[in-house]
Amino acid sequence: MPDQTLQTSRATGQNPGAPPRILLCNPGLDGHDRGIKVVARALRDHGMEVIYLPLRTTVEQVAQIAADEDVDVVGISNLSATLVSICSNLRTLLDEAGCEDIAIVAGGTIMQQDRQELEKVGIRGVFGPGSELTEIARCVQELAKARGRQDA
Amino acid sequence: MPETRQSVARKISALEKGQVVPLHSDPSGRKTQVIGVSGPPGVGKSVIVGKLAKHLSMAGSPVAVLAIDPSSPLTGGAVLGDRVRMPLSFEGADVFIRSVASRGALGGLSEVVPSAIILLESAGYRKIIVETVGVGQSETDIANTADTIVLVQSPGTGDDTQGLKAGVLEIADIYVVNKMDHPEAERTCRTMTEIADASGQSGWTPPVVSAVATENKGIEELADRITAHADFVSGSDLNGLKRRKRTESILAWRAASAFRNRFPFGDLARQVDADRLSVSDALAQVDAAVASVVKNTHHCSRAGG
Repeated sequence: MPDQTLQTSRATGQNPGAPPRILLCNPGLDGHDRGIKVVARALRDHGMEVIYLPLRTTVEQVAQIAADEDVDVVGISNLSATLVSICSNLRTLLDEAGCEDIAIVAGGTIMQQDRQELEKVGIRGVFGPGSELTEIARCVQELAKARGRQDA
Repeated sequence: MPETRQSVARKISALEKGQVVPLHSDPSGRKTQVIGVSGPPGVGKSVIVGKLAKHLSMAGSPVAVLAIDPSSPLTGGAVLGDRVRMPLSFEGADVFIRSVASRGALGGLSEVVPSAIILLESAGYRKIIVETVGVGQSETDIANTADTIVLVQSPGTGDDTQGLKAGVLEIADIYVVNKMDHPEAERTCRTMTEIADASGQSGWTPPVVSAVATENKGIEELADRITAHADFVSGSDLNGLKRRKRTESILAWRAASAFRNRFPFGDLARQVDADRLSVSDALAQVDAAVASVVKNTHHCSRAGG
């Protein structure tokens, strides 16, 4: 059930603006997508537009698609050991493409030492197993608002 | 290209927010073909759109795709999943894909689509594919938006009587029967051929293309038929008519949403509810408001505006 205390991001006549847009993907060779599908549905239920990619994308493809779709946030789900390098590469590619304002958040099996690495690399939200979906939704909404997506 | 990809992407977002974005109907854009792809859920529209975009771009045209998916009427959110069935990259060819949420629009598109088309035209995209939401027969917004309408069916999406119902079936320029490897496929083809022969404008009989899109079968024929229809349209009066309809759509949609957002429907409804106003009188107030707006518009035009 969506958290009723969270403002839904819905754009209405009285609240012009736009729903947050987020790109969800699992780049690389990891074949897990159940977690990402659960998050996709939850974010939709919180009033966001979720662009969903198939498995086995490259980081280059993710960066290009994030720019074309003009998303506020890219959510990386990865249960392999390559999460830090994926996020680091994506951050570099987005910055080089002039998309410094697109934030990256990460979810999956995240090891403690990786958390610090991820924050250093500029990842704005880190969600390990057991993270509350409402927490993820709140984080994405705040990042979108900061980017100017929602005029609340 | 006169404009960067990133600039186009951000302008589409600005248009969705209702911000003012300069839009010029570029005369050289008359070489652009807008191709609508419609059809019920599950027939393979996204796969076809992806393969078609690749084919057309390999042939040298910069291609843009607008893929529309429905927004939830309850939460306003959406899962925009059409890209899942499209190629992730196009080997250097110029293909721009944008996922669009319907945001309350009911005719199969989204309010931003006609404006986004003008923007994409000015940015140099020569083929613009619009994949509708895909809820079936009520999707007629595409008629005012596309130059060429492709209707996709697959076996098992309806019996012969579906062909008699009015709606999107009437407006198609090209029919595609996808999933031809299905046992019922031949029968579906026959039904679509009967419908096709009975419809179409003078000078154009809609062809029926058989396809198995996942195996790339029928895509080249579809592309050829689309090109043939482009030639037909540009050689007739239809070209100017379709472009005017797109512009009309932009204006009509803007008028409807501006009016909806600003007119005090809630106040009137409360008065009706409290028995202070009859429904007929409330309707008369709405009519009077519209008449006043229209009168002012004509007044401006007459004054040489």
